[in-house]
Amino acid sequence: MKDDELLAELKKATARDPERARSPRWERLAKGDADADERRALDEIARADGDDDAVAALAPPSDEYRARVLDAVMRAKTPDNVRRFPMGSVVAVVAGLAMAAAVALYVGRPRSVGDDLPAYALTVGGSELDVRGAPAPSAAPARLGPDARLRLVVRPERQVAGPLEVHLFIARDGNVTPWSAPYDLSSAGVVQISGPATMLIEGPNGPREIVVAVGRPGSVPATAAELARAPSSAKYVVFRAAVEIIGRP
Amino acid sequence: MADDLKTTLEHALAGDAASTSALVRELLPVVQVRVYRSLVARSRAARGRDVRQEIEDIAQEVLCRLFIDDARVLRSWDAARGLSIRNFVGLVAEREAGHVMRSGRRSPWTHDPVDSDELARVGGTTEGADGALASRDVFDAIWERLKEQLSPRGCELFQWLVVDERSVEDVCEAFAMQPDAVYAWRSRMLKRVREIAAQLDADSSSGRAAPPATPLRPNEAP
Repeated sequence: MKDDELLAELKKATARDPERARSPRWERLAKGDADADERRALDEIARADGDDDAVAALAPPSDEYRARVLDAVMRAKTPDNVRRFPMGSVVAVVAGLAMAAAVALYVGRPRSVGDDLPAYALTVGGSELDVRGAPAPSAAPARLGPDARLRLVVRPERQVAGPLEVHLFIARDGNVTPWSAPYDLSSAGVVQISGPATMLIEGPNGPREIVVAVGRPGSVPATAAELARAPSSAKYVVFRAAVEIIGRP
Repeated sequence: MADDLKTTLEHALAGDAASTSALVRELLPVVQVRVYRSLVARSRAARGRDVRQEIEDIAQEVLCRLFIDDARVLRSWDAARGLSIRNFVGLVAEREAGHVMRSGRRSPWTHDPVDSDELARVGGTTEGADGALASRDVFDAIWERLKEQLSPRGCELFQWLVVDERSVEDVCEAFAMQPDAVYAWRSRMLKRVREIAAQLDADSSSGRAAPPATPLRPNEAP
């Protein structure tokens, strides 16, 4: 049988296999179920394919990572559980998107005493920005096309001990509503929101204002209206970032 | 196990936190592997980043996507359509990773081309074991064994070259490989297929049932 005929028959065999796309041995590796012999065997297979990084890349994740994923999933599943704003107060008029400087880097500097928060900085990356970088301040909003990914990070200048809570809002046409984007709050006090813009921000093209408040439990203003007026304090920081949704049909 | 996972899924969708945790634990490895494969198949567009970090970032996003909006995506899985829940989730992971890479803004890593000097170019027909290549069952058995011996990169190369019948030029562009390296990979894969076929043929001739697919190790003699 010629090579081409052999490959054609193999292709038909894959079409008959509903699980053809799975790689159970590699899934066992990623799950932590592969023993040393199996890991060696997989490493040999990978290296023969010029894939020297595979075993390291698919090593079982840390318990911390697993916990972080589960936490993010739980928040995605039940977003209302982490938005503590009374429903009656979630719609408020903000003094327009112009109230927030449309820049990609903000710094809040509350006093730092006792359990007071240190200075925080917000970086926003979007379609025209390096999502891994710390973009320079700009007067323009982050423009997010159909394939854009948004990454928003609120990071303290030093590690924050103790409990924190995060409140998210999004404003459009002057209306502020809770924003159900899944976020990650690390043990160091870093808040991160990341994902496809189409998943994180619903609705038509146009400008939005994202409001992120991080603070000690109970200290963050309880309503969107209060947040709209609030400067950062020693117990909480409030950031506002302008984005613009473009290119949606 | 499949039934166990289905039960876990049902309980998770009903709101049980422990089942959600168990489900995430079961699905995370599936997602990680599929994300990695998607990144491998876009090596050219993915340079200079930490692949492990990319896998973890995207895997978390995939799992959140499954559960967001009252688990709308997970609830759309229908066993009657033929995909296992793991495979369904794998497809979601592939789409998500593809979305990330097509956007062109994240560049996880690059992959050095295979050294073509140490590899041979394939050509024509190779010898051996044709007697075992006669039936659909045999090819199914060959495929079962072959896929156990493919790396994530090998799986993607097989998909591109054999299943999708993409050109070598396309593969070179996506995988950041030289043509000789692609031909050499194809040659090795074909050689392995014939080794598997020969083993199946020998098993058949001796009256033994074909052994299960998993025991074969790389470079194991047929």
